[in-house]
Amino acid sequence: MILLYILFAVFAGLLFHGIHRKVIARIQTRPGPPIWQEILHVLKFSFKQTWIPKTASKILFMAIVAAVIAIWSGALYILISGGSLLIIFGVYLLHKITEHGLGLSSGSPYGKFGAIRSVISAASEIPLIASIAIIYLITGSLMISDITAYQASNGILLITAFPVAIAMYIIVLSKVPYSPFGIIEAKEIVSGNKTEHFGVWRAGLEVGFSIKTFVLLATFITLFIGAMPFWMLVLASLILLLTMSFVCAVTPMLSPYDAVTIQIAVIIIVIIYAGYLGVMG
Amino acid sequence: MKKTSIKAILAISAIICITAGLFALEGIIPEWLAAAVIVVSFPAFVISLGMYWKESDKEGDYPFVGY
Repeated sequence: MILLYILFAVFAGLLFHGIHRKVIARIQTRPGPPIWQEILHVLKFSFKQTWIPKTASKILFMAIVAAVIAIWSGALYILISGGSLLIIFGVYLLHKITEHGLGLSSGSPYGKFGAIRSVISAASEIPLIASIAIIYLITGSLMISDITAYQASNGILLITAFPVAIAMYIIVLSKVPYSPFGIIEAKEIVSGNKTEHFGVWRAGLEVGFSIKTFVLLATFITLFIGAMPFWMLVLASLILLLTMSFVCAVTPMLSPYDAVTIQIAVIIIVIIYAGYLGVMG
Repeated sequence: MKKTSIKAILAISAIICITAGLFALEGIIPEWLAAAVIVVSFPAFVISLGMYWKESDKEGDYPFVGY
């Protein structure tokens, strides 16, 4: 079944990216591309002439693409099987390393700028750590199956732990395409850390990133709304993505300094909330 | 890499993915083991499929480093 889930996540994730682009375009009064554009992109990249730049670290250049696909496939299995939230958190951290390695592997200065910015944006991990800690304080477990069971008997965490949901929302928002926090691929550094990964390498990356988008959205829904049939999870993930499309459409790309400042502000809110929970029991 | 080697990797990774999935469905191997095998072989399948499809090989070029 996991293979079918992965294949579905690739297709759904790419379609989500297409819908995301379409919604952003329509809000900005542009026609936008068709919603299946990202699927066509992956096919197009797969048939392009492909080589490895002379300045690249060959093994890292290729391995990083496989790593992106592998880690998010693993995260999808953990989510579907109701495994530990800590492993998904670990995958998120590994993704940060792949973003960094992706930029450094090509030898391109734009890739390196993207890689450096991925280190700067590591500030987004701190709200994630704080969020996971608070979820543990509230539910008493980090197993996704236990967290959904807790919500079934005590109400959804979206309401009972709203500040944590906001923090997690910003974390997921920072990872969707065209995000105001997407400083690692801002246009002033061409495509950032992905600049020199073209052709088949880019197709592989897009496959990995599509699984990532699906996993992050579905994780948010599962953690803050609870367990539901798979089709409903997909629908809820799409609705969540649409809210992010609105944010992305009306918010310009933040400067690295502003992105980190906002993420630190979120950390402060979450820490105050954690203190409040501690005092109030 | 030669086209025949890529074709071999493509076939082997596809067979491993499908076999692991079927074995897990039949209960021959535990689901976590199938997932671990698929997590390793699926990226190989995706990349080798692209490498098999790609238009042509070319020697590596220097990336654009600005004006």
